[in-house]
Amino acid sequence: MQSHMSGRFFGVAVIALLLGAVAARAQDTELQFYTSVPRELSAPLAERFTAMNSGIKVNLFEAGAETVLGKMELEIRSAGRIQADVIWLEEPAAVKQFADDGRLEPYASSELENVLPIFRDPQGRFVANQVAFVFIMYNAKKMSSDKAPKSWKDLTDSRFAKQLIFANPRVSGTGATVASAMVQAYGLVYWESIAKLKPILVSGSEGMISTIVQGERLAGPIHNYTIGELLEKKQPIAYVVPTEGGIALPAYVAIARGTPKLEAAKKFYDFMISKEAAGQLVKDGMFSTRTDVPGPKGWPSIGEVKTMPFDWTQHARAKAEIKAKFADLMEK
Amino acid sequence: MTGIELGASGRHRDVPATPQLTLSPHRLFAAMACGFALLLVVLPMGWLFIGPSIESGRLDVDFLAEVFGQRRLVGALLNTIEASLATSLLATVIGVALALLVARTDLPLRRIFSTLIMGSFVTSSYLVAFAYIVLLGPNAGVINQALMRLFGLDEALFDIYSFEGYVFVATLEATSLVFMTVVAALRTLDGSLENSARILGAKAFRVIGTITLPLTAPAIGAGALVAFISTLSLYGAPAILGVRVVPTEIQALLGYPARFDLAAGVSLYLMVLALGGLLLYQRLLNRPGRFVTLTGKGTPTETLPLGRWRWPAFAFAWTYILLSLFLPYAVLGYASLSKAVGADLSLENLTLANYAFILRDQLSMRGLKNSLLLAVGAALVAAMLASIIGFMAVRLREQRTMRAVDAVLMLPFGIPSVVIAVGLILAFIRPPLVLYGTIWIIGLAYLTKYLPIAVRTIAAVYEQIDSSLEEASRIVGASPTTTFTKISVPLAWNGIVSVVFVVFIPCFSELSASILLVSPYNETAAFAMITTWGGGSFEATCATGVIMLAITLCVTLVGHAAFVRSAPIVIR
Repeated sequence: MQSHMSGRFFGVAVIALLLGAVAARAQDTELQFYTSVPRELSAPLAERFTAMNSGIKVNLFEAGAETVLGKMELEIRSAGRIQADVIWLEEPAAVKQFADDGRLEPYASSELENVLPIFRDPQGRFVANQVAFVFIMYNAKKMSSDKAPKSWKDLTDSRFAKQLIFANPRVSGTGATVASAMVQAYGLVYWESIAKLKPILVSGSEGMISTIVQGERLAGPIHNYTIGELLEKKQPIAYVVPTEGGIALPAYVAIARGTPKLEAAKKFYDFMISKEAAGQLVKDGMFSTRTDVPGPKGWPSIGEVKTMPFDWTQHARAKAEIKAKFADLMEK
Repeated sequence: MTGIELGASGRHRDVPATPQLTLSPHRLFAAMACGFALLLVVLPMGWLFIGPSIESGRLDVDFLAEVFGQRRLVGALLNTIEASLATSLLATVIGVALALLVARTDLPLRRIFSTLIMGSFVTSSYLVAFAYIVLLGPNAGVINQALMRLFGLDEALFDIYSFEGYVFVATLEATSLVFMTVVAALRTLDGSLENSARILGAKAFRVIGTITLPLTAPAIGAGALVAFISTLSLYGAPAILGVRVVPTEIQALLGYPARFDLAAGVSLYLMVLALGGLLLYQRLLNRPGRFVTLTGKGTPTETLPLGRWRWPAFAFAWTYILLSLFLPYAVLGYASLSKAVGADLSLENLTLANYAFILRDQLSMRGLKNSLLLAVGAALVAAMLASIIGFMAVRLREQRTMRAVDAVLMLPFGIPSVVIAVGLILAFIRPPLVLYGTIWIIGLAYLTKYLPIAVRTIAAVYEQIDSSLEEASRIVGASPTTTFTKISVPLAWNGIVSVVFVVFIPCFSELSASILLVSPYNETAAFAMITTWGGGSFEATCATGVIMLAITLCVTLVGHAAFVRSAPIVIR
């Protein structure tokens, strides 16, 4: 009898423990977070947020901007809404398009007032928390600084025959932006000249890094944070800020409309534009859009970087055509 | 690889109808297995035709013509055809030569060679492409640089980022396919004709040219077509090397904004091309007279001495293994342990950081876990379905329905994975059944693609098992279900186990279908690998490749040791 009782007690205890565990698990919120920002940058932010908000786990999905956008569009068709709770994309025109289609949730975060006005949506549907710049990086071991390109225009010079590498605009968001920026400044003839120099096209926005570091190709457009990181690792590279200016790539944070986890999503949104997150971003070589945070180490503040003019709406309109032309010119 | 029965040829005998029509549980279950398998084929293929119309809300066939209005797509189609033809041709020449050397001559180390070529067979061409960027990149490629220094050249000899570079990489993989098909035929070819010719004084080359090759011509043609069809499907290698082919173009069409109609259109053209190949393959293997020479047990052929050609032949065979297996894995292994693969060779450049990165990386770990799950799942389900369907395909060969089911089930064998993926997206992106966005749609693609090979492999096993034991079991009163589970399955057990691996190995590293079907958190290992590469970390990408190889080897070896029975199972 005694053992029977203790057995029953034991059973009840186990059930209670299991229920407790289930209840504890049920409290955990899992945020689905889609981003085109490389995992080296986005994963630490997500982890930091979870450390500060126990019970909210952030599941990261990272891929090239075009892949993420493609998946989001397929989700809208299949499930009726973007399956992410929060997105963070380096593709301003597409983010604006999603907002105009009513796919993003407006949110008047109290943190917004600290962000430079040009980086906020007046209706509060999206906000840029960071800006990366694209400059020209080159292999300094194989090319001296006097031979190095001085401007974007300079890249069309015949001395760069078989020395250039670009991200394929059809796969890489950055690649598409660079392609558009040059067309906006110089017309398609820019890429016709480049095509004659037989550049390599790679799929990812940064698939080019190892190729330049290895010296397989000598120069190409690369993000400032990558350049900073490589310089810190004493890799044999150098960079130039082209005379036309660097290409600015803001990354926009937004909440997907229809998320069942709106409160947690708002918390994460607040965090993404907080001073705390800005500190981390700047440490990783990004420029923060906050008025109260300086530029990353070794770089001036965001207002002092020479920036090439770029029309994102024009980019959104002409992108498909430019990509097709680009493919016709460059791909084998 | 055995013949794939496509057309229902020959007269069928009338089968007594009454006992066949009773609805018993085993019959129902068997019908369900066939029904499910048929659905796997018909659904994605049908949706390619009707998808664009459903999308635009009216009868829409414009997309079929619009494909030809798009220069890029036409270019991609031509590129694909050209690359597949060139690859198939090269692979056939090399593969047949290797098969003859291994199966007919005294080539040194030929048994080790046959084992190692399996390694080339299971190595995905995107891994090989990665390795050859390091070896044959036009500026920094290790081989190119060595040759430039050696001969004082100003320009590199090879450029892997080219159409020719792509054909080279594709040929390395396709050659193993041709080899396997032809060597199997050579081993079952009755040797008496060849032996007689030799006794009558014909020289070795003459015997091969006038007897061996003509007799194995159907198998050679079949091997060439398998090489052609499999090259049509390739996504990874051309994407990495920057060559525009239909699979890479379809991936772009499903980007943002998506063009389903064009993706469906160009998929249909690729499918027609592949099915044309499949039909031809079918006809080659069904040529009359095949069974006269290709018997299970025949007179063994005498080994032809190579004489002074022994060592050149040896060099030729091992150059292939070097290029397709040793060099790629040496590069992947070295790169995965390097800080920067371009830096000078030194101990300081070695690191385990790339492996540490992958083990900590959410995406890579999720990809490996998902791929393991998908590949094991697809392999087990395929083996289960195939052991039922393959059994029926052999034992119920006389029934017209069964032959038709069998023929339809074989179709995906010829359909490029990327086409299956487009069909599945169109079929499962809208209610009633929304599978897009789940891991299930990837599993379905794997099952569709690899079920034909599974069914064929098991059918080949049942062909060799005499049905007398099954008949005996029925005579003593066992139900068909009991006979199947107690007699047929145990007899074919090793064949069923080998099917699990035949499906597991390609699924685990699959890329062509999964690149389109992955959704956030349902990534596959190969997708994670491509994303890591796109993020600029070549070394970490190689570490993923090495981890994938290690998992494949572990699963195969452990599975083999655990489940393959050396003696027939004792029947209780």
